[in-house]
Amino acid sequence: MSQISVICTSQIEDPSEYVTYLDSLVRLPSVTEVVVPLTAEGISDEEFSAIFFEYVESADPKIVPIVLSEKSSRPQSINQAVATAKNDVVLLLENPVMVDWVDLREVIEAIEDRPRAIVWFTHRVLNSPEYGPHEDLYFRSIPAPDSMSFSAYAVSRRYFLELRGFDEEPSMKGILGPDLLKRHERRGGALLRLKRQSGVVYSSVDSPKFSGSINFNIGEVEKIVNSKASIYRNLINWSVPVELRVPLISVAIATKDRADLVGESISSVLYQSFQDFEIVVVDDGSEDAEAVQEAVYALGDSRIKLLRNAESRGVSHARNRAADATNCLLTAVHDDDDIMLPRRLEWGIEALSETTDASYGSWTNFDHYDGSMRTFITRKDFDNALVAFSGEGPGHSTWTIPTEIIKALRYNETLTSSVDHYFATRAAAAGVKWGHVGKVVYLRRVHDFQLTSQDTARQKSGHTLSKFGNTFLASSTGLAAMREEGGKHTYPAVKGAKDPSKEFSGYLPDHLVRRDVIIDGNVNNALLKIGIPTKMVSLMEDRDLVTGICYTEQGLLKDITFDELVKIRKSGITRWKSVGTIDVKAEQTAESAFLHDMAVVEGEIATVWEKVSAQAVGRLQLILAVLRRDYKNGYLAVVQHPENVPELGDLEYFSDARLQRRLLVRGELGVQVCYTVFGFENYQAAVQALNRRHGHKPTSPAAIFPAVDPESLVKVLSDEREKRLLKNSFDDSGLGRIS
Amino acid sequence: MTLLRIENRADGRLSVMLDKGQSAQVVGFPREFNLDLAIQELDSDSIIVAGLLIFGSKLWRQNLEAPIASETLSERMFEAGYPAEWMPVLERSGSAPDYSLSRQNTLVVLPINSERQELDISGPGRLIYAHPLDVADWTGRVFGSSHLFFGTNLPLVASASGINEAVLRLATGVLIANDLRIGKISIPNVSPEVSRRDLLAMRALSSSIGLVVDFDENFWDREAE
Repeated sequence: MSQISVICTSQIEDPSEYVTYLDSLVRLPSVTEVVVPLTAEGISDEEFSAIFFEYVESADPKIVPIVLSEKSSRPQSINQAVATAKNDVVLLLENPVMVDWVDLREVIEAIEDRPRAIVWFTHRVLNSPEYGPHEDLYFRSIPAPDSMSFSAYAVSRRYFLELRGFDEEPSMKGILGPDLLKRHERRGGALLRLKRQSGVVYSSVDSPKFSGSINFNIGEVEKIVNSKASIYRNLINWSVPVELRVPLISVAIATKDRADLVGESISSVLYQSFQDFEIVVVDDGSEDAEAVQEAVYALGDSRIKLLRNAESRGVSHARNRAADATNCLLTAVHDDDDIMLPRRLEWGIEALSETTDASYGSWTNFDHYDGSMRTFITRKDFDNALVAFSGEGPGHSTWTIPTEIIKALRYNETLTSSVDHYFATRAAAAGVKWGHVGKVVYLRRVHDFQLTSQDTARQKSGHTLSKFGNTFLASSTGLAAMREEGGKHTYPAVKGAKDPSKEFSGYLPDHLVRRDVIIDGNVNNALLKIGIPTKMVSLMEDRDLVTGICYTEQGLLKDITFDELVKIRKSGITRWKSVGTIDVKAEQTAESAFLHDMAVVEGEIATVWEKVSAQAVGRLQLILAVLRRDYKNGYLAVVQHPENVPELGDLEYFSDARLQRRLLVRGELGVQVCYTVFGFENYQAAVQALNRRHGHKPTSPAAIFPAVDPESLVKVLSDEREKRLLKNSFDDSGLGRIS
Repeated sequence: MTLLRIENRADGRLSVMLDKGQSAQVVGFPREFNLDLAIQELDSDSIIVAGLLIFGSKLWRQNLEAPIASETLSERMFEAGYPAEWMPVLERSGSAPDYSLSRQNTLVVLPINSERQELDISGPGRLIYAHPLDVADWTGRVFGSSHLFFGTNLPLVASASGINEAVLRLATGVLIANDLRIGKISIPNVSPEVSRRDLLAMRALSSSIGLVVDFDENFWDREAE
């Protein structure tokens, strides 16, 4: 028989009341565990600890205490508690209400029947805390105020995780129910209310309250939820451990006879910023099925499911089969020869909202043979008026769409071409609202073996059919009205529309580009983890030496392959950007690459220094601006370290500084620039520290704020840099070198 | 305040839409129910009843600003046994049109994409079979004296909202009842999953606008709650 986990979201301050309350919960039928998060502050109270733990040890193993770390916020702790729940159904209690009259078996059955519904309970307040065991309390109670209406609700663990739990934004505090409920309703989720007798929870006027929710106004949480239109939260950073998460989105790929390309296509999914996906590849009867299987399995990722049709059943069948094979809430459409940009899934999911049921975006075509690129933007808000106006459709591989819509409408298996346009038009006719993400989301490969290039005429005919069906019922005035309305749909401002090579060439296949990658985060550790430390040619590190906090760590990696992009993402790096130079003859030998690098050594040291120092001065400007804002009454001493000091050895001179922030920029060929900013209480202390150091290292430039205003200091540093640049350069005027 | 909007659209479809207006209510997918028909005589009470069937819990206890109900609709709903906790708060004015004498036909709303069925159905006047067709495959309408075929997004609305397709078939019947002068609606082949409580609520709602509803099953045998 199915059972339920209860999550008490906070603790009651009075330990006796808490124990009494917990005891009432563990005795409920169907309850197998009651998860109770405890704050470190709470259990530091000796009386509380004594009473609580005595109860836990002696009374019931069903109580599962979780001691929250001080670093965990309330949403984080509840998200983790739900993720670790033993049962598929969880009852969340945000106030200590009495659930004795709730029929928990009915709750479990309701959720088992509709796993993506939330069971909501009416909260009523008793006039008197005394009542008989069989009394109908409904008529002895009054409705609770709205602020208490989120006291109790039940949800399946899986669905809670699909909605990505509670928003872990730092300002989320107190009662969190509105966050979950509103996002659930945005995606059209159903709220189930049980029969009156089993759908009401009670509290009395003088009931104890959870300490986390006292005096909390739900308006604050509602304000945060309303400020973000999207449905799903915590897409990139989430406190729930990866192994406990469930995939939110299925990437559906239909393939046939493309064993040489499908691996690259799947790799572009594996390097996505959003990682909680599964990939369903349907091989629609490839002649060499083993080659496809080999290409897919070579990627070694357990999130990939490979299905195979023994003989080709057509692209619509393959798409329907991919939808049938997943239980994911969403589906992202992808083709076996195309390449996703790294945030394609994240953008597609983020665009879904109360008014956008399915999202689509722009794409950039690239020539498989020469790498030339062209962007296709498409108009916003695809609907049947737009089809009547121009006939255009949302690019298929840009779709992010609820899987249930695909399962309900189905791709039409009698069609062999333009199946996506037909589907999109039918979906719009059925009331599905499409929304544009306003970005280029993938690179579409243009090559000789492409279906659309081989079968253009049939594609166009198919298009005409769906356009015809779209306006079949309209009168001439209706059609004119639709066309007029469609003409009002504008194009979004898409980055990379004019110069796609500049924006996207870093994501082209290996045979077309030489690729450099800029990564943010724990660069050194990540590179060691993935085994390519030698590929880093430049590093910028901005670190607080007192606390150890690293504000920025940015590395530039050279000559990165497509496979290495996947490795970089898998190492945990979420922020990275690839910059490519189109080089069709990029099949360079190791020897030619070495010679290329040597050429840099011979002639480019000054150029490297210029790049490195420009980067350092730019970052320093930012650091000084932030520190001046945060340390208004203090004094900042900026020290530039000579290039030949690889690590700071002179911190001892600044031991009384209350702030030590180091900026280190390293470039190719061992070139590096290093600054440290020290913070002092007063001007004197700063001067003394600099003097002490100057006695030992007289050549290092230094300056103090606010004795010198930031603008002037940066100018001094820039002048110094200019001087150095001139010194390193030859003057063509014949006047000789400047000294 | 929430609104139920109804529109014969430029694309030739009738659409019943839920609009949040200025309210804080969240109206997610599905937010519209479409029929490939143009309907002429829809009174406010019928729209409210159809809206309650189509949008279910999204309308419960909402403050429904439009359309404006007749003075007596909520009393009649209450008297007919529609659960009070499901009723929206209605703006009321005027009286309902009286179709009672002119409603002399019987409408059978068949399951989606059904062929003609031999059914043992008795009712007043002419017997008309409504054949809803899935808009995923069909567009348009065909009318004959005893059969009406039309496209609808009923299957998608049913699967996305979790509302049983029989409830949406009844809503379809309510929407076309005035135009076809229907006094009785029959809903055959109701899934056994629909509880007796829900069937009673459907009947109660429909009776509040003067429509008799029949289910071909022995629905009294369904599990009592």
